[in-house]
Amino acid sequence: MANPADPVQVRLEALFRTYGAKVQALLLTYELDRHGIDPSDVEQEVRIRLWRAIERDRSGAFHASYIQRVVASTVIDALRRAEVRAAEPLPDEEEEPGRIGDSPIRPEQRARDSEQMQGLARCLAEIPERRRLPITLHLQGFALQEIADLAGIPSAEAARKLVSRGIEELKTRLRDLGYGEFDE
Amino acid sequence: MNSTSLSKLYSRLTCTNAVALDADDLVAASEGELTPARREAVAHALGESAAHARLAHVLRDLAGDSDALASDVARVRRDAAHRRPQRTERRVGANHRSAAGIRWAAGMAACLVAVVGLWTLRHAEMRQAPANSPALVHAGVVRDTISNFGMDGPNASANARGDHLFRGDFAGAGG
Repeated sequence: MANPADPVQVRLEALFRTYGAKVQALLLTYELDRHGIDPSDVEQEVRIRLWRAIERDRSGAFHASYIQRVVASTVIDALRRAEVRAAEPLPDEEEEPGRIGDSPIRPEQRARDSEQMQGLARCLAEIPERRRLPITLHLQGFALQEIADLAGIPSAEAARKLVSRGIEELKTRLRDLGYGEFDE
Repeated sequence: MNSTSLSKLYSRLTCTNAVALDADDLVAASEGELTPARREAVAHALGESAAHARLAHVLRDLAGDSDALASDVARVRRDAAHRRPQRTERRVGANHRSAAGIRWAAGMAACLVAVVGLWTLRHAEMRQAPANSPALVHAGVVRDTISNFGMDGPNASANARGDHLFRGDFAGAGG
């Protein structure tokens, strides 16, 4: 898309390439490839969309939040396409470090996972909503301050207390129901 | 007894959850700028979808790079915009110089045309005018009939009419 003779285009191309590599690395770091998307495809699509944005409005401001939106919308589109393809449930990360479908999950492992997931869902559903939301956000990897911001909790310290108590309660419920021991 | 990671189990539990989160919500969430009206819905969506939660983490970690890219693109555009007027000035200067050259050449050509035109006109007049025409007389090209000794052939008489003093002597007709 860049004219190789135009030094401005060459510089922009280099910037987009560097940025795209970072996007791809982060998608792999957070294992979004396990959700049926191809990070290299997403990276390429992000660069194409950024180019189009630059071409469309040559003098307009190119804000960081706009760039973030381009990445977000590209990944969301890829996730939707993956949903349409009806992706298989994710394998256990410890046992299957590769991509989905690289190796089959043992039937007994699948059965145990399924049982534990049902138990987890049941125990979470029994926890009052006010405490459940911080727990689920914590289990999805959000930091305490992020949980506070997202859940409307006054401080990170308050979020920490809610999360800590909630996780202990969840573990106790799972143990009492016979699902075994869990760590975070 | 091996303990299972709650986080991993929950991630597997929510990996196929499809939630309706748009890019604006995700960016706002990653920047901590969710509106109160959207906060609860987005928080629940992120808690229930592993994919969207992971994308929110990606956006959070990418924020610095996006800032840097925005700054770099702005700088490249500034540099390009700065170079553009210089190129324009150079073009304008070159145009001025070439216009002056064109004007000088046009002036010279006009002078040349005028000189050639005048010369051509003058030359044509000289060719077309009769020998005793006022123009020739005025120009001093009428023949000097004093030296006309009848050696001009049969047309000599016509030309000799101008000088009556010698015509009688040489005509031999008693005139």
